[in-house]
Amino acid sequence: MKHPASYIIIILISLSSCELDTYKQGERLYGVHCESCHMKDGSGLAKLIPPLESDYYKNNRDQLSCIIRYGLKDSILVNDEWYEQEMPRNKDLSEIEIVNIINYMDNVLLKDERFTTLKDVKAQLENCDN
Amino acid sequence: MNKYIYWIAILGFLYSCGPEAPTTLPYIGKKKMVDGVEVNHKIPAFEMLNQDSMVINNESLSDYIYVADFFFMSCPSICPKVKKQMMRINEKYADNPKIKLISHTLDPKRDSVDRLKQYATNLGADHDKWYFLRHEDKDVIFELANEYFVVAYEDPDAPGGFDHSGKILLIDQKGHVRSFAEGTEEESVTKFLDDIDLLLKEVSETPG
Repeated sequence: MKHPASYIIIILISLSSCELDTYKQGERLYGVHCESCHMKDGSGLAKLIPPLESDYYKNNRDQLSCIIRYGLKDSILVNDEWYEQEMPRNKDLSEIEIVNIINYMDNVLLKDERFTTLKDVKAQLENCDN
Repeated sequence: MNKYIYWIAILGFLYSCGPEAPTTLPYIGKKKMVDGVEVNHKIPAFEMLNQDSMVINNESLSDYIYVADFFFMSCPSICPKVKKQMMRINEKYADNPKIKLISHTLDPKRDSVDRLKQYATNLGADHDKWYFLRHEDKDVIFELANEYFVVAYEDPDAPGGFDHSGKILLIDQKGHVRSFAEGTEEESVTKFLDDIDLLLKEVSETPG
């Protein structure tokens, strides 16, 4: 281990292995709480359950935590289609679990590189309408 | 050189032992003795309304093979996944007049005919091909589900109030169960599509 390059290599390897685990919890939680309706790839179900990839998702980014925790009762307009089915709430999810779900959806399912923090989620949850 | 012979032998062995594609579908369920004759399990007579308030019974289905599942509209657990797979089946056979799809609701109280109609429309179903059937008495539906080897019962602790399995079943024109898939698993349904093709072939080759 005399060569400084070997340290750099070790650091790089450990960083890259962490990378693989980044969305693990989010993936697992999505599988348990979201996938039955929104499907594994986030595509939803016809005109019954909306896809994640949508104008609605983008325009309500600051509401995502509230929607995940409290669900939706009213009809919503998504990609020019009305969806009337109620979205059930997920009251038992902790704030950090919501962070992980949002980051999994954004980065893996929607391939939209962005990072939501615990602080963001806390702020959203303080201002929910529910 | 010897090494190669071993490999060839192993490959040949694997090839000969590989599963052969089945050419006919089995009859699923326990055989019964009726008047001294062994008969295959059969879906008993039923009569229900579809989403257009049309009466559908086993006689109206006698010219078709059909694919069946059990669900309820407010189901938050497995139903949407099963419906996604039913949509796949629907799309593949959209132009085949020999096949129908049937989705039985387990929740007649909440799933009225009108609501089923709206649901079917939202799913993009062809109303003449894909029937959403409802019966007033849910016990009749639970019993019928048993005949399809689908477990279904009311359970206040289950998500949405009903517990049931997500099987999709293939029924021939005589009412026998010939194949099934786990409706929550895409791969299981991929194999099931092959079984549907096999049954369609069998039907087209059977006179009358």
